[in-house]
Amino acid sequence: MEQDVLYNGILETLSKELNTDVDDLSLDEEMEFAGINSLKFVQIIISLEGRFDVEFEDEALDYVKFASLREFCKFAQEWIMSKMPVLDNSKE
Amino acid sequence: MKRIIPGIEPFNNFFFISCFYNSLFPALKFYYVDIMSILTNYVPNYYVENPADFFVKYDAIDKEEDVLNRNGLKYIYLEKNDDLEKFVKSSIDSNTPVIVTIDWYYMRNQVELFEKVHRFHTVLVIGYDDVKRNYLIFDERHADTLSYELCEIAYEDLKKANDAYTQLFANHTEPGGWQICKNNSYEPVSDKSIDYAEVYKNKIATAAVWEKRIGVLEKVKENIGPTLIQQFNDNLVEHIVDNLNDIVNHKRVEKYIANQLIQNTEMSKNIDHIIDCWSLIRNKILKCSFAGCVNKNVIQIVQAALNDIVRLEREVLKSIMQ
Repeated sequence: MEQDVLYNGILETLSKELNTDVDDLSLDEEMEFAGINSLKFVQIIISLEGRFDVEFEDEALDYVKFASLREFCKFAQEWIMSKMPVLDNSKE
Repeated sequence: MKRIIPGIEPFNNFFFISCFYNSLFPALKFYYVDIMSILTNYVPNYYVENPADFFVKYDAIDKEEDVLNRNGLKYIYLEKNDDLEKFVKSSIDSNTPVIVTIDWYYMRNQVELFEKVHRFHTVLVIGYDDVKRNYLIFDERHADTLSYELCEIAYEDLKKANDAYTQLFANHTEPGGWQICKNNSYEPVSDKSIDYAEVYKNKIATAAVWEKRIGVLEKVKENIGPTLIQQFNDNLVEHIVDNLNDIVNHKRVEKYIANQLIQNTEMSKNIDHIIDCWSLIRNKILKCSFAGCVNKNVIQIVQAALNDIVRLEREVLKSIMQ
Protein backbone atom coordinates (compact mmCIF):
# COMPACT_ATOMS: atom_id res chain seq x y z
CA MET A 1 0.00 0.00 0.00
CA GLU A 2 1.24 3.47 -0.89
CA GLN A 3 2.22 5.54 2.16
CA ASP A 4 -0.01 8.42 1.05
CA VAL A 5 -3.01 6.14 0.66
CA LEU A 6 -2.38 4.71 4.12
CA TYR A 7 -1.98 8.17 5.67
CA ASN A 8 -5.19 9.38 4.06
CA GLY A 9 -6.96 6.26 5.32
CA ILE A 10 -5.84 7.07 8.86
CA LEU A 11 -7.11 10.65 8.47
CA GLU A 12 -10.45 9.38 7.17
CA THR A 13 -10.81 7.12 10.21
CA LEU A 14 -10.02 10.01 12.53
CA SER A 15 -12.49 12.28 10.79
CA LYS A 16 -15.23 9.64 11.01
CA GLU A 17 -14.62 8.91 14.70
CA LEU A 18 -14.31 12.59 15.62
CA ASN A 19 -17.34 13.44 13.52
CA THR A 20 -15.57 16.19 11.59
CA ASP A 21 -14.30 16.79 8.04
CA VAL A 22 -10.73 15.71 7.29
CA ASP A 23 -9.87 19.34 6.53
CA ASP A 24 -11.17 20.41 9.93
CA LEU A 25 -9.07 17.97 11.98
CA SER A 26 -6.88 19.84 14.46
CA LEU A 27 -3.70 17.95 13.59
CA ASP A 28 -1.22 20.16 15.38
CA GLU A 29 -3.08 21.04 18.54
CA GLU A 30 -2.83 19.15 21.82
CA MET A 31 -4.80 15.91 21.70
CA GLU A 32 -7.58 17.08 24.04
CA PHE A 33 -8.13 20.27 22.04
CA ALA A 34 -8.48 18.03 18.98
CA GLY A 35 -11.36 16.29 20.76
CA ILE A 36 -9.49 13.24 22.03
CA ASN A 37 -10.25 11.55 25.34
CA SER A 38 -9.61 7.97 26.42
CA LEU A 39 -12.97 6.73 25.15
CA LYS A 40 -12.67 8.30 21.70
CA PHE A 41 -9.05 7.25 21.36
CA VAL A 42 -9.80 3.59 22.01
CA GLN A 43 -12.64 3.84 19.44
CA ILE A 44 -10.14 5.24 16.93
CA ILE A 45 -7.66 2.44 17.64
CA ILE A 46 -10.36 -0.20 17.18
CA SER A 47 -11.49 1.39 13.90
CA LEU A 48 -7.90 1.47 12.61
CA GLU A 49 -7.37 -2.14 13.66
CA GLY A 50 -10.51 -3.17 11.80
CA ARG A 51 -9.74 -1.12 8.70
CA PHE A 52 -6.11 -2.18 8.32
CA ASP A 53 -6.32 -5.64 9.91
CA VAL A 54 -3.59 -4.97 12.49
CA GLU A 55 -3.43 -4.95 16.26
CA PHE A 56 -1.81 -2.09 18.12
CA GLU A 57 0.34 -2.68 21.20
CA ASP A 58 -1.15 -1.84 24.61
CA GLU A 59 1.00 1.28 25.00
CA ALA A 60 -0.61 2.75 21.88
CA LEU A 61 -3.99 2.75 23.64
CA ASP A 62 -2.97 5.72 25.78
CA TYR A 63 -3.46 9.00 23.95
CA VAL A 64 -1.38 10.99 26.44
CA LYS A 65 1.74 9.44 24.87
CA PHE A 66 1.13 11.56 21.77
CA ALA A 67 1.60 15.32 21.62
CA SER A 68 -0.77 15.84 18.67
CA LEU A 69 -2.95 14.00 16.17
CA ARG A 70 -0.20 14.45 13.56
CA GLU A 71 2.29 12.64 15.82
CA PHE A 72 -0.24 9.85 16.34
CA CYS A 73 -0.92 9.61 12.58
CA LYS A 74 2.81 9.18 11.90
CA PHE A 75 3.06 6.53 14.60
CA ALA A 76 -0.01 4.68 13.26
CA GLN A 77 1.31 4.87 9.71
CA GLU A 78 4.68 3.39 10.71
CA TRP A 79 3.06 0.73 12.88
CA ILE A 80 0.66 -0.39 10.16
CA MET A 81 3.44 -0.39 7.53
CA SER A 82 5.60 -2.54 9.81
CA LYS A 83 2.80 -5.11 10.14
CA MET A 84 2.08 -5.39 6.44
CA PRO A 85 3.49 -8.37 4.54
CA VAL A 86 6.66 -7.54 2.60
CA LEU A 87 6.30 -8.30 -1.10
CA ASP A 88 9.15 -10.30 -2.54
CA ASN A 89 9.86 -8.77 -5.95
CA SER A 90 13.04 -10.69 -6.61
CA LYS A 91 13.01 -12.78 -9.76
CA GLU A 92 13.69 -16.47 -9.62
CA MET B 1 -20.68 47.77 26.32
CA LYS B 2 -18.05 45.02 26.50
CA ARG B 3 -16.37 44.02 29.76
CA ILE B 4 -13.83 41.29 30.39
CA ILE B 5 -11.96 40.49 33.58
CA PRO B 6 -8.29 40.94 32.72
CA GLY B 7 -5.56 38.45 33.62
CA ILE B 8 -7.65 35.34 34.11
CA GLU B 9 -6.69 32.07 32.39
CA PRO B 10 -8.48 28.74 31.81
CA PHE B 11 -7.30 25.76 33.85
CA ASN B 12 -6.23 22.66 31.92
CA ASN B 13 -3.75 20.95 34.26
CA PHE B 14 -6.07 18.17 35.42
CA PHE B 15 -9.61 17.20 36.37
CA PHE B 16 -10.28 17.37 40.13
CA ILE B 17 -13.50 15.87 41.53
CA SER B 18 -15.84 17.61 39.05
CA CYS B 19 -16.06 20.28 36.36
CA PHE B 20 -16.83 22.79 39.12
CA TYR B 21 -13.13 22.92 40.06
CA ASN B 22 -12.05 23.60 36.46
CA SER B 23 -14.27 26.67 36.83
CA LEU B 24 -13.11 27.56 40.34
CA PHE B 25 -9.32 27.23 39.87
CA PRO B 26 -8.97 30.05 37.28
CA ALA B 27 -10.83 32.30 39.75
CA LEU B 28 -8.54 31.31 42.65
CA LYS B 29 -5.45 31.91 40.54
CA PHE B 30 -6.88 35.27 39.50
CA TYR B 31 -6.94 36.23 43.21
CA TYR B 32 -3.44 34.74 43.73
CA VAL B 33 -4.91 32.09 46.01
CA ASP B 34 -2.92 28.85 45.96
CA ILE B 35 -5.07 26.01 44.58
CA MET B 36 -3.25 23.78 47.08
CA SER B 37 -5.64 25.23 49.66
CA ILE B 38 -8.42 23.26 47.92
CA LEU B 39 -6.37 20.24 46.81
CA THR B 40 -5.13 19.61 50.34
CA ASN B 41 -8.63 19.91 51.78
CA TYR B 42 -9.85 16.64 50.26
CA VAL B 43 -8.72 13.15 51.22
CA PRO B 44 -9.01 10.75 48.27
CA ASN B 45 -10.28 7.58 49.90
CA TYR B 46 -10.73 4.31 48.04
CA TYR B 47 -13.89 2.30 48.64
CA VAL B 48 -15.11 -1.10 47.57
CA GLU B 49 -18.84 -1.53 48.20
CA ASN B 50 -19.06 -4.93 46.59
CA PRO B 51 -16.60 -6.75 44.35
CA ALA B 52 -18.09 -5.05 41.31
CA ASP B 53 -17.92 -1.51 42.63
CA PHE B 54 -14.66 0.13 43.62
CA PHE B 55 -14.11 3.86 43.39
CA VAL B 56 -12.31 6.90 44.75
CA LYS B 57 -14.27 9.42 46.79
CA TYR B 58 -12.98 12.71 48.11
CA ASP B 59 -13.78 13.40 51.75
CA ALA B 60 -13.57 17.06 52.77
CA ILE B 61 -11.50 18.00 55.81
CA ASP B 62 -12.99 21.48 56.30
CA LYS B 63 -16.05 23.16 54.80
CA GLU B 64 -15.07 24.68 51.48
CA GLU B 65 -16.47 28.08 52.53
CA ASP B 66 -14.04 28.02 55.47
CA VAL B 67 -11.12 27.29 53.16
CA LEU B 68 -12.13 30.22 50.98
CA ASN B 69 -12.58 32.43 54.02
CA ARG B 70 -9.07 31.64 55.21
CA ASN B 71 -7.88 32.93 51.85
CA GLY B 72 -9.95 36.12 52.00
CA LEU B 73 -12.63 34.94 49.57
CA LYS B 74 -16.28 34.00 49.77
CA TYR B 75 -19.11 32.70 47.60
CA ILE B 76 -22.24 34.71 46.90
CA TYR B 77 -24.95 32.42 45.58
CA LEU B 78 -27.49 33.02 42.85
CA GLU B 79 -30.83 32.74 44.62
CA LYS B 80 -33.87 31.18 42.96
CA ASN B 81 -35.61 34.44 42.09
CA ASP B 82 -32.47 36.34 41.11
CA ASP B 83 -32.07 37.60 37.56
CA LEU B 84 -29.13 35.76 36.00
CA GLU B 85 -28.12 38.57 33.64
CA LYS B 86 -28.11 41.13 36.46
CA PHE B 87 -26.24 38.73 38.78
CA VAL B 88 -23.54 38.00 36.19
CA LYS B 89 -23.10 41.52 34.84
CA SER B 90 -22.89 43.20 38.25
CA SER B 91 -20.29 40.63 39.18
CA ILE B 92 -18.19 41.15 36.04
CA ASP B 93 -18.47 44.94 36.50
CA SER B 94 -16.70 44.54 39.84
CA ASN B 95 -14.06 42.18 38.34
CA THR B 96 -15.59 39.16 40.07
CA PRO B 97 -15.70 35.88 38.14
CA VAL B 98 -18.97 33.92 38.27
CA ILE B 99 -19.54 30.17 38.05
CA VAL B 100 -22.86 29.29 36.40
CA THR B 101 -24.45 25.87 36.57
CA ILE B 102 -26.00 24.73 33.32
CA ASP B 103 -27.56 21.93 31.33
CA TRP B 104 -25.19 21.27 28.44
CA TYR B 105 -28.15 20.58 26.13
CA TYR B 106 -28.63 24.32 25.57
CA MET B 107 -24.99 25.28 25.12
CA ARG B 108 -24.50 26.07 21.43
CA ASN B 109 -20.69 26.20 21.86
CA GLN B 110 -20.69 22.48 22.65
CA VAL B 111 -21.40 20.88 19.26
CA GLU B 112 -21.27 17.28 20.50
CA LEU B 113 -23.93 17.73 23.17
CA PHE B 114 -25.98 20.74 21.99
CA GLU B 115 -29.63 19.70 21.67
CA LYS B 116 -28.59 16.06 22.08
CA VAL B 117 -27.77 15.28 25.71
CA HIS B 118 -28.99 16.72 29.01
CA ARG B 119 -25.99 16.95 31.30
CA PHE B 120 -25.12 18.94 34.38
CA HIS B 121 -22.06 21.17 33.92
CA THR B 122 -20.53 24.44 35.12
CA VAL B 123 -18.86 27.26 33.23
CA LEU B 124 -16.90 30.29 34.44
CA VAL B 125 -18.19 33.62 33.16
CA ILE B 126 -15.43 36.21 32.84
CA GLY B 127 -16.99 38.84 30.60
CA TYR B 128 -19.92 40.04 28.53
CA ASP B 129 -20.56 41.90 25.30
CA ASP B 130 -23.80 43.93 25.16
CA VAL B 131 -23.49 44.55 21.43
CA LYS B 132 -23.32 40.88 20.49
CA ARG B 133 -25.39 39.92 23.56
CA ASN B 134 -22.82 37.24 24.40
CA TYR B 135 -21.16 36.16 27.61
CA LEU B 136 -17.46 35.32 27.55
CA ILE B 137 -16.91 32.05 29.36
CA PHE B 138 -14.30 29.39 30.01
CA ASP B 139 -15.63 26.06 28.80
CA GLU B 140 -14.32 22.87 27.22
CA ARG B 141 -13.99 22.91 23.44
CA HIS B 142 -14.94 19.22 23.47
CA ALA B 143 -16.90 17.51 26.24
CA ASP B 144 -14.87 15.45 28.72
CA THR B 145 -11.51 16.77 27.61
CA LEU B 146 -9.11 19.19 29.22
CA SER B 147 -9.69 21.75 26.48
CA TYR B 148 -10.95 24.74 28.47
CA GLU B 149 -10.73 27.95 26.49
CA LEU B 150 -12.46 31.28 26.00
CA CYS B 151 -15.84 30.78 24.31
CA GLU B 152 -18.86 32.95 23.63
CA ILE B 153 -22.42 32.06 24.49
CA ALA B 154 -25.56 34.12 23.87
CA TYR B 155 -27.28 35.67 26.91
CA GLU B 156 -30.45 33.77 26.00
CA ASP B 157 -28.67 30.42 25.70
CA LEU B 158 -26.95 30.70 29.08
CA LYS B 159 -30.28 31.67 30.65
CA LYS B 160 -32.01 28.67 29.05
CA ALA B 161 -29.17 26.35 30.11
CA ASN B 162 -29.26 27.72 33.67
CA ASP B 163 -33.06 27.47 33.92
CA ALA B 164 -32.93 23.93 32.57
CA TYR B 165 -30.40 23.00 35.26
CA THR B 166 -32.70 24.17 38.04
CA GLN B 167 -35.69 22.38 36.49
CA LEU B 168 -34.11 19.12 35.33
CA PHE B 169 -31.56 18.56 38.06
CA ALA B 170 -33.71 19.50 41.00
CA ASN B 171 -32.12 16.74 43.10
CA HIS B 172 -28.71 18.45 42.76
CA THR B 173 -27.87 20.59 45.75
CA GLU B 174 -25.54 22.97 43.91
CA PRO B 175 -26.81 26.52 43.47
CA GLY B 176 -27.43 27.94 40.00
CA GLY B 177 -24.50 30.32 40.30
CA TRP B 178 -21.64 31.47 42.48
CA GLN B 179 -19.80 34.75 42.54
CA ILE B 180 -16.27 34.17 43.80
CA CYS B 181 -15.45 37.42 45.50
CA LYS B 182 -13.19 39.06 48.02
CA ASN B 183 -14.41 38.76 51.57
CA ASN B 184 -13.65 42.13 53.06
CA SER B 185 -14.67 41.07 56.56
CA TYR B 186 -11.79 38.57 56.79
CA GLU B 187 -8.09 39.15 56.80
CA PRO B 188 -6.63 36.63 54.37
CA VAL B 189 -4.06 34.29 55.82
CA SER B 190 -0.70 34.91 54.21
CA ASP B 191 0.30 32.11 51.84
CA LYS B 192 3.58 31.71 53.68
CA SER B 193 1.85 30.98 56.97
CA ILE B 194 0.32 27.75 55.62
CA ASP B 195 2.74 24.94 54.95
CA TYR B 196 0.71 22.85 52.49
CA ALA B 197 3.42 20.16 52.44
CA GLU B 198 2.83 19.65 56.18
CA VAL B 199 -0.96 19.67 55.70
CA TYR B 200 -0.59 17.09 52.92
CA LYS B 201 1.72 14.87 54.96
CA ASN B 202 -0.36 15.07 58.15
CA LYS B 203 -3.86 14.79 56.71
CA ILE B 204 -3.74 13.15 53.30
CA ALA B 205 -0.50 11.30 52.62
CA THR B 206 -0.75 9.35 55.85
CA ALA B 207 -0.03 5.70 56.57
CA ALA B 208 -3.71 5.21 57.50
CA VAL B 209 -4.98 6.56 54.17
CA TRP B 210 -2.48 4.48 52.22
CA GLU B 211 -3.08 1.28 54.23
CA LYS B 212 -6.82 1.65 53.58
CA ARG B 213 -6.15 2.23 49.88
CA ILE B 214 -3.89 -0.82 49.64
CA GLY B 215 -6.48 -2.90 51.51
CA VAL B 216 -9.16 -1.94 48.95
CA LEU B 217 -6.81 -2.68 46.06
CA GLU B 218 -5.99 -6.12 47.51
CA LYS B 219 -9.72 -6.88 47.66
CA VAL B 220 -10.25 -5.64 44.10
CA LYS B 221 -7.29 -7.72 42.91
CA GLU B 222 -8.72 -10.92 44.42
CA ASN B 223 -12.06 -10.46 42.68
CA ILE B 224 -11.23 -8.67 39.45
CA GLY B 225 -11.69 -11.71 37.16
CA PRO B 226 -15.25 -12.65 38.22
CA THR B 227 -16.04 -8.94 38.67
CA LEU B 228 -15.22 -8.08 35.07
CA ILE B 229 -17.16 -11.02 33.71
CA GLN B 230 -20.15 -10.07 35.90
CA GLN B 231 -19.94 -6.43 34.76
CA PHE B 232 -19.98 -7.55 31.13
CA ASN B 233 -22.92 -9.85 31.74
CA ASP B 234 -24.86 -7.07 33.46
CA ASN B 235 -23.93 -4.40 30.89
CA LEU B 236 -22.28 -2.34 33.60
CA VAL B 237 -18.91 -1.82 31.93
CA GLU B 238 -19.58 1.88 31.50
CA HIS B 239 -19.83 2.19 35.27
CA ILE B 240 -16.49 0.50 35.89
CA VAL B 241 -14.85 2.63 33.15
CA ASP B 242 -16.22 5.82 34.79
CA ASN B 243 -14.76 4.73 38.12
CA LEU B 244 -11.42 3.94 36.47
CA ASN B 245 -11.41 7.36 34.79
CA ASP B 246 -11.93 8.97 38.19
CA ILE B 247 -8.99 6.98 39.57
CA VAL B 248 -6.69 7.98 36.68
CA ASN B 249 -7.67 11.64 37.19
CA HIS B 250 -7.12 11.35 40.95
CA LYS B 251 -3.62 9.89 40.39
CA ARG B 252 -2.77 12.79 38.05
CA VAL B 253 -3.78 15.23 40.79
CA GLU B 254 -1.75 13.23 43.30
CA LYS B 255 1.28 13.48 41.01
CA TYR B 256 0.79 17.24 40.72
CA ILE B 257 0.54 17.66 44.50
CA ALA B 258 3.52 15.38 45.16
CA ASN B 259 5.67 17.18 42.60
CA GLN B 260 4.79 20.56 44.08
CA LEU B 261 5.04 19.68 47.75
CA ILE B 262 7.26 16.66 48.27
CA GLN B 263 9.67 16.71 45.31
CA ASN B 264 10.79 13.12 45.62
CA THR B 265 11.91 11.81 42.21
CA GLU B 266 11.41 8.16 43.11
CA MET B 267 7.90 8.82 44.36
CA SER B 268 7.03 10.82 41.27
CA LYS B 269 8.30 7.99 39.02
CA ASN B 270 6.25 5.46 40.96
CA ILE B 271 3.08 7.57 40.65
CA ASP B 272 3.75 7.80 36.90
CA HIS B 273 3.94 4.00 36.70
CA ILE B 274 0.72 3.69 38.69
CA ILE B 275 -1.01 6.09 36.26
CA ASP B 276 0.26 3.95 33.34
CA CYS B 277 -1.09 0.80 35.01
CA TRP B 278 -4.54 2.30 35.70
CA SER B 279 -4.67 3.72 32.17
CA LEU B 280 -3.80 0.31 30.75
CA ILE B 281 -6.56 -1.35 32.82
CA ARG B 282 -9.12 1.27 31.74
CA ASN B 283 -8.13 1.13 28.07
CA LYS B 284 -8.10 -2.68 27.97
CA ILE B 285 -11.57 -2.79 29.54
CA LEU B 286 -12.80 -0.10 27.14
CA LYS B 287 -11.49 -2.11 24.21
CA CYS B 288 -13.27 -5.21 25.53
CA SER B 289 -16.48 -3.23 25.98
CA PHE B 290 -16.44 -2.22 22.29
CA ALA B 291 -15.69 -5.81 21.31
CA GLY B 292 -18.54 -6.96 23.59
CA CYS B 293 -16.59 -9.61 25.48
CA VAL B 294 -13.82 -10.05 28.01
CA ASN B 295 -11.25 -12.80 27.57
CA LYS B 296 -8.82 -14.60 29.87
CA ASN B 297 -5.87 -12.76 28.40
CA VAL B 298 -7.37 -9.37 29.35
CA ILE B 299 -8.10 -10.55 32.88
CA GLN B 300 -4.48 -11.67 33.24
CA ILE B 301 -3.20 -8.30 32.03
CA VAL B 302 -5.55 -6.46 34.42
CA GLN B 303 -4.47 -8.69 37.32
CA ALA B 304 -0.79 -8.12 36.53
CA ALA B 305 -1.35 -4.35 36.35
CA LEU B 306 -3.18 -4.43 39.71
CA ASN B 307 -0.28 -6.38 41.25
CA ASP B 308 2.07 -3.66 40.03
CA ILE B 309 -0.22 -0.94 41.39
CA VAL B 310 -0.29 -2.50 44.88
CA ARG B 311 3.52 -2.91 44.87
CA LEU B 312 4.05 0.66 43.65
CA GLU B 313 1.55 2.14 46.16
CA ARG B 314 3.62 0.48 48.91
CA GLU B 315 6.73 2.14 47.46
CA VAL B 316 4.95 5.50 47.44
CA LEU B 317 3.99 4.96 51.08
CA LYS B 318 7.67 4.33 51.90
CA SER B 319 8.62 7.61 50.19
CA ILE B 320 5.95 9.46 52.15
CA MET B 321 7.18 7.99 55.43
CA GLN B 322 10.79 9.09 54.80
